[in-house]
Amino acid sequence: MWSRALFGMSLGFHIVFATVGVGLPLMVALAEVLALRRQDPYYRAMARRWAAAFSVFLGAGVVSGTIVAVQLSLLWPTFMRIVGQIIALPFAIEVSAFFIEAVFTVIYVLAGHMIPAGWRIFSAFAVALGAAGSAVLITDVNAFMNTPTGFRLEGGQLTDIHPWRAMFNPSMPSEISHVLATAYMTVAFVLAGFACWGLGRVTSDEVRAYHARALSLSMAVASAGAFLTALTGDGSGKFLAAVQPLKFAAAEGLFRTTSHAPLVIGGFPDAVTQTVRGGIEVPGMLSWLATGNRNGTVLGLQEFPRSEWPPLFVHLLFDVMVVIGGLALFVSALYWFFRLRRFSVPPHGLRTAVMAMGPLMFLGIEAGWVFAEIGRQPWTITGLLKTSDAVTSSSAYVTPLFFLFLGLYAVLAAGAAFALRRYVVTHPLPDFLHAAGLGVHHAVAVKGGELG
Amino acid sequence: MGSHAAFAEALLWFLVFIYALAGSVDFGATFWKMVFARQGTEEAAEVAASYVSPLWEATNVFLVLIAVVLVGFFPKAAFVYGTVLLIPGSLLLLLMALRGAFLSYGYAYAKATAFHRYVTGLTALVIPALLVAVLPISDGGYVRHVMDTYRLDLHSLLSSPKVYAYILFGLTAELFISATFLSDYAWTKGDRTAYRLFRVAASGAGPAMIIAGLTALFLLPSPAWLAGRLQAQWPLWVASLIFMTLSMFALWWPRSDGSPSGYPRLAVVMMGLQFAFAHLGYGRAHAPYLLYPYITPQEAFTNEVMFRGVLITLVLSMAIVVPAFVWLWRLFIAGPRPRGGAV
Ligand code: HDD
Ligand code: HEM
Ligand code: HEM
Repeated sequence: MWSRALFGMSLGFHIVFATVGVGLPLMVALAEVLALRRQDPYYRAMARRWAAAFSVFLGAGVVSGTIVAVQLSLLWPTFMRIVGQIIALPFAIEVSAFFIEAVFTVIYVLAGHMIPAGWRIFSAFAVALGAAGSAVLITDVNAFMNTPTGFRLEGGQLTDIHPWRAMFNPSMPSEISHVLATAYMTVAFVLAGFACWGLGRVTSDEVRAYHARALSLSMAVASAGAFLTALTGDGSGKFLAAVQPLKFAAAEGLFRTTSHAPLVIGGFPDAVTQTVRGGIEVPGMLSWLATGNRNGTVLGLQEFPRSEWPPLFVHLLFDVMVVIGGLALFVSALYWFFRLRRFSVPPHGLRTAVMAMGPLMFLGIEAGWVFAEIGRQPWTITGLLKTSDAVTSSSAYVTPLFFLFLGLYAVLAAGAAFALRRYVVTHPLPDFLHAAGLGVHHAVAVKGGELG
Repeated sequence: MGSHAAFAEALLWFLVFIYALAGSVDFGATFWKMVFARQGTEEAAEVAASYVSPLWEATNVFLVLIAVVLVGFFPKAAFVYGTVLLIPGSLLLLLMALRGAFLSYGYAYAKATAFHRYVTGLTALVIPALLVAVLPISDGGYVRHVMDTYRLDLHSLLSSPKVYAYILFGLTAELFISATFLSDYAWTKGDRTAYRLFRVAASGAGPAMIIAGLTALFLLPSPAWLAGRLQAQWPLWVASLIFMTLSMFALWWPRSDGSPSGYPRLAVVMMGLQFAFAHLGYGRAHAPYLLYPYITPQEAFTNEVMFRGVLITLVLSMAIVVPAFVWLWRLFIAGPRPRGGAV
């Protein structure tokens, strides 16, 4: 139990920094491209500012990732023994992705001003590529856990092992595309939120010009990300319905196999009455989502042995994620509505909504992962390894470790917050733009953070 | 199959060698940065800092690489080590996390604060020392096979003088390797004050390391299976000692051109050879067991398909990683000193 809590906490922490690590370098690279194409120094200033945030976050991402990797062996030794035999390749390839990311981050951040613009852009994209590679490969291991392939089980022995087939397992495309789309969308919304915040306290034309550009760029990426998230999320859902119907039934709180199945949004699945208490029903919608046809048949939980059911609250996690995805689409649409009506600065209400999206995004990511993991219970590797068998036998020590790491994460999070705050205080945006050769009048010193 | 397991073991041991050197320099430099941050020795602190900031992440990836290769080549060894190292491994992770995170948080500050320096410097000092404690554990005697599982006997581990000798060895080796390396780095950067300081530090840490190492391996009794095998490697130990002596000489050999005495580049090469021989000696003595008496390389070896897969990915990775690393090295280590924290 504590092993699961400890590991879940470590991943929950890592995933925040990892998501930033995937999304932020792409934004930096895009800003660099715009700086060069439009010969616009605002974008170069933007890239430098975002890169500063990135180099602060990177440390926590790297160390929390190292923790997760080692804890995987420490807490789930049996799991790693199987991983080593079947699905070690993504891990091995991932190391080079880490390496590319680390090396080019240093080159971009510490030497960016010494190398030509072309090489600088190349380095920024290399960082983004390395980070995306890390995410793709580790998510692939998770996809393997959902739909293990590439081996046969004979009398408790693994035989006929095909590492490449294990790597290209059936969940891989849907899961990877969804993770990438959500990471880009998340970071773009966070940056858009900072830009909106800054637009609420403009002190000079330069500051306004800076934030307006930051908002356009990040909302463009955020909207595209929101669209792709819905698309890939729908793909994941259809995939689950076809390949892991039990998980899908749990996600939707569907007990009886039904054609013309309704989609139930919210509500709490009750195992005793076998109904969902509360919640909004949309008739036929679930069948349509799962099969593309309003009369399609969707398997219910009843088709499966009770002992294999995951905890039913995963329905709520799934809905949290989907509702946030819907909000992201809605906010994006509103933004473009005002943009096309030539509002240079969106109205106050919309700015607040964009600012709220940042934290919600992280909620969505966490809900999505916890759903994906708990929804697979009782299995760690579907059909192959039960969670109860994967866990370490040294479990007596895990409880104190949980609290030790809880303390560590608190310290790391506080350290990151202080560092960012410190950077913003010592590099206030007006001075920063001034140093970049943009404008001279920064009459009112801006207090507080505006990393956007 | 047997020879593939031996090859995989040799490759793993080679990676450990690289990490032992690179990690020592990386951690040691963080420690020296803390020590020399005082007035008057700031140049030395800055030399150390300008080494650490570009390279610590790349060095960290190397540690991850070793973990991944262990899992890929010897899943059963990863299983047993994972089980027994829960406590020490977690503590180590904790320290590493503090150091790494606060190093990068330091980028946000114009000049790292004393708080950052102490957190990173002190954690960096103990991490390699603790890492080395895996060696006596692998020698056998501290792990029990109970029922279906394996347990680390923390009590006998913590009360064993041998373990402390290994830890002391790890500590002094870290200081020696990093100081020797940084003396050469300071020389390249043309920083004479820093060069002198690191030279003195290296000359103190080197002999201390030899004493600690000899104590750990020979003065304190080794497990019976290992003792004889260690002695059989005597030519390698002798070679190692000779190169050690040469590296000390190289640091102090007078120069005729009026610059401070010593040939630090030569000292670094000699030091590398010294470690290569010692590492080879220990590795050859230890080769039959990954963890005595439970895990041999043959028995822990993965299947052939996976072995080939991991090997191929490793080779291809290196084809990408090495050129990138060379570029990094030329920009930061061999070139003029960069300005720290340019963003
Ligand atoms: C901000 C984050 C976010 C948002 C708004 C969404 N998702 Fe998501 N979702 C994730 C973040 C996420 C994730 C963290 O990236 C997960 C966890 C595991 C994975 O593969 O991706 C995930 C998993 C995940 C799975 C499970 C895959 C599996 O278990 O194999 C499904 C079916 C969906 N999503 C479907 C959707 C739908 C239909 C959405 C509506 C627009 C949606 N997601 C929005
Ligand atoms: C992508 C690679 C991932 C791997 C290889 C992985 C592996 C595992 C393993 C082995 C377990 C324990 C067994 C289990 O409960 O299923 C677990 C549980 C868990 N994981 Fe994942 N996981 C991954 C991604 C994530 C991420 C990114 C999160 C972020 C929130 C996450 C959240 C959790 C949680 C909360 C648990 C505890 C669930 C429980 O109580 O059983 N997982 N994961
Ligand atoms: C079981 C799950 C996971 C493990 C074992 C793991 C392992 C690691 C390790 C060891 C590192 C540090 C590498 C270094 O030394 O530079 C790292 C960093 C990173 N991981 Fe994870 N990871 C996991 C889950 C994830 C997920 C789910 C994502 C993305 C969605 C992700 C994305 C990244 C990225 C982008 C980095 C680079 C550091 C950064 O930019 O913050 N990881 N991970």
